[in-house]
Amino acid sequence: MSDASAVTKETVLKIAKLARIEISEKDIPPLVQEMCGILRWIECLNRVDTSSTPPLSTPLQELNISQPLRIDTVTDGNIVGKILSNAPEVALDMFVVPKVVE
Amino acid sequence: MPNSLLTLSALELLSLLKKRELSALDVCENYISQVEKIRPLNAFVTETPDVARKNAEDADKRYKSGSSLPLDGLPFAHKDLFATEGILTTSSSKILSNFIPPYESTVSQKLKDSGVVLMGKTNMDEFAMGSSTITSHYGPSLNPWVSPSSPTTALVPGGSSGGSTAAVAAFAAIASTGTDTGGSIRQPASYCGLVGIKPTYGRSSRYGIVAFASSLDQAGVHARSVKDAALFLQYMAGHDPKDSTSAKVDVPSYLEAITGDIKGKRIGIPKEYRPEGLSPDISRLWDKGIALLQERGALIEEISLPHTDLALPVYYILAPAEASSNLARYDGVRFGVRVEHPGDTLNDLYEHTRGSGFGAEVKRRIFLGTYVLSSGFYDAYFLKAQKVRFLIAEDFKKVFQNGIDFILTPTTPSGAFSVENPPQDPIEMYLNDVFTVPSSLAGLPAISVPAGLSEKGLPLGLQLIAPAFQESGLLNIAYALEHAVQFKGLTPETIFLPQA
Repeated sequence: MSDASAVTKETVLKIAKLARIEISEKDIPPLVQEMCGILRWIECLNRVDTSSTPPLSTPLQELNISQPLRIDTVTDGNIVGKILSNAPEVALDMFVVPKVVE
Repeated sequence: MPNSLLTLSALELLSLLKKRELSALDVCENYISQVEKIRPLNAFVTETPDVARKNAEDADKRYKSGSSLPLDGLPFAHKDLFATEGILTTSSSKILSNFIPPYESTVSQKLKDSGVVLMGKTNMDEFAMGSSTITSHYGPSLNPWVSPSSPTTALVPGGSSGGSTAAVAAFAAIASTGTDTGGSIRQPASYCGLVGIKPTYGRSSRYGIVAFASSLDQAGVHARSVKDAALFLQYMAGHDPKDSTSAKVDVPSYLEAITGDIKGKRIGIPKEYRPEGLSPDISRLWDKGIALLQERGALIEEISLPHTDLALPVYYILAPAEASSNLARYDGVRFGVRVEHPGDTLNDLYEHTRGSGFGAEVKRRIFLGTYVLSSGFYDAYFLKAQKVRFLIAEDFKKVFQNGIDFILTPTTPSGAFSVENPPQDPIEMYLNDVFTVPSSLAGLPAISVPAGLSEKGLPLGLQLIAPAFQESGLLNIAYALEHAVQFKGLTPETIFLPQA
């Protein structure tokens, strides 16, 4: 595990970019501090030997519950109006976003 | 008259409605008045009196024609992250503050189809991230309980399902849904003196529930008694083709399983849940619970769950990681709030919308989750946490394989805290979930039962944990404990309402 104190202003700015969350200059120092604190706290996991332990990604794995796939058929349709009903901006039955292609 | 009607249990109400000694509309009007009366508690994001009256009138028609549904006419509330068609569903976030779902969650649909009367949608921590409702965009809900020694100090109801528990404890709904990711049903139930059950992961459908951490989220119920919780859980549980993680496991009759007979049941008391420094209040209550179960014929055994102290660190890697992925959908394009001036590019639009739409705790968790999933850290954090999660689940598996039927622990390390002076350090706040997170990671069913009062006179719960899909047995032993404790809840006259 990496050194938790390695979280810096640059790390936070990089994460903000990855997470697509705008962050103001004044929010950076507390976030650095909190993330360092939390990452230090979770470093205790290092003391556990997991070299022969499988990862558990869902409890269903342990409970022996299978997750069968549904047959791939259409179960609804013709609900364009419903799908667009909450969109901030709509034109010609489509979502509108700022121009992405020159 | 009105007050006595509010204190009836769901089962009592059903019996009176069936005999037509009460009308569903009368019940509904009484509850609507109570919803209005407790507005200072900020338990609801949206009140739905018109829907409620319509539901109640429909129920009355069915009672009249002899075709009533199993929960017909019972006043109910949903945590505001169950998608309700045509009714605002915010997850207590600014970014969803205008979201009117065009569809219904499976759990709320099933309850609707069983006849419940919808009183409203309840307040919660934003995106269910918190233990207090303080992170809600709509401000905190207040606990209807106060300490007699400090009767004007408003307390949190717990969280994240705190509006749901405040509403039920204050008689504005007879029961309510909650969701539990790391303790969000059990902790607020404990703080508000209610029963709260989180069923097995996969027991009920997650379809239409605003997702926080998909490998942990599970819907459950809060009620004022174990039998009422059993009644509602019955009509929430079951496989749903729309949720591939919902299990194809039969749902037995929960009420029939409740006999109160626990003779010969082996109860495990995990020694790791009694760390040095555990509050004497909690310790005393736990010992009392142990003694009461023993008096009723249960066999008490000390057990060990050796990886317990790693559960919270594991949780605070996995839950934020899953959240950072789940919350990527809030981008200001297809639904939800978009900032007024989105900027010139699509990235600007995303960044401004998400920067202004999410609150501080949600951002903190998305940042943490993004970090532990980012290139170079995935194995060290995320994968490592999933491996330790396996060990935690194995701890429980071994104990139950050795013949232990149930595990008894405290629900929370303390009682409700002040709204004005909550813990400031995120980690201190996270410690609230220390006793509830391990069973969540293992996906096991667990219930909080009110067990007594702290020295300050505030309710505290005990938690019972069962093997997977053993909700029947869990409800039965919870009933035995409830019966033995004889906990006295609030009455409509003793609810705390802050002076305006």
